[in-house]
Amino acid sequence: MNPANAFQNPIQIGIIVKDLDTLLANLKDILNVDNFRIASFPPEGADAPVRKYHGKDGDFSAKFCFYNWGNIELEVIQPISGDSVWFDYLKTTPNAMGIHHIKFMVDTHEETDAHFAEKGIMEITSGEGVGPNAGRTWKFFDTYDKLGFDVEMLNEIVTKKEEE
Amino acid sequence: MYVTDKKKLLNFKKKIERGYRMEKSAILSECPVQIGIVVPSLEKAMERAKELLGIEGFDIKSFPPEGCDDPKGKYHGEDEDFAFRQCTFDWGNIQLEFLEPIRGRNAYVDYLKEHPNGGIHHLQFLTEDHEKTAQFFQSKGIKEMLSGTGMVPGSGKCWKYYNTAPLIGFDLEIVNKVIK
Repeated sequence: MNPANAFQNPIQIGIIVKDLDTLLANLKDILNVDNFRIASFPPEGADAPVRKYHGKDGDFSAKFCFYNWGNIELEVIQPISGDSVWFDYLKTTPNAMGIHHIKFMVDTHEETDAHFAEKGIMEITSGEGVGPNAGRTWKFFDTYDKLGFDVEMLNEIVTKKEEE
Repeated sequence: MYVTDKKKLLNFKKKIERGYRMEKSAILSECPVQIGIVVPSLEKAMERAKELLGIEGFDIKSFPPEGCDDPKGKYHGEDEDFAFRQCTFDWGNIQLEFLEPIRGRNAYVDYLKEHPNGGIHHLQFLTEDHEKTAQFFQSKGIKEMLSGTGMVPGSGKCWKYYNTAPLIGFDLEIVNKVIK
């Protein structure tokens, strides 16, 4: 595949942080960034979404915040529990925060999965989308040491669960 | 197969243009215009960006800019003779930049000491008036780390980095839009 087709348009910059509330207050103070959409993952009261960590079933949770800058979305994630790429990042980064990933959207995952597998890039963490991303799957790929950030992929085409 | 929604891309580009057309009262543009990544090797970064993301055709420049007698380099407020290489790529709705430090004291060398493989170091915003932004950051107790003349000699532009990483997870680069 020609990767340029899949990665021509970054849609999100993702920050991982240990203390979400302090970061949000600082973003407002310095950049006047406010009115975040805040969500928990998994959402309270919903069925537990499928989650994977290094290919095995995962059981992790996090708090998410989203802000639309217009040209690109800002996401802030505070990992709460369980093994995930987000906790791994916090262990290695100074200040207990930093920009961790850039996100891209593709119609479906098949070709980009195959592309990264061919390049020897591992999928680190993935999960079933919730809220506005219900029916989609997000996946983080371990590109940090090669690119200076991890790549997150999200499929645009929603797949409906088969009726039981 | 892939998301190639031209309408969405056009809307993003309009937003960026709006960022450049700041309100008079605004201190900074309303959105970031660049993601800046510090790397130990510009060549390897470009090679990997091409291999993994299909990105190629970077615009490569050096600092001090060729033919520039007075690059106005400052490191934490002191005159400093530093050099770096830079490459940029217009990435749909935002610019991607890789930076490799070459010599002297600078914020990029400092970053690589803590992140030997490199990483996302800054987001760039625009200002109409560096003096106003400097006063704003000073009032917040945020220090200027590095500054220098624009990469295009004679453009009248100046870039400045502010050490906001301990507060928001990344440093801010501010470039003046209005040429004085």
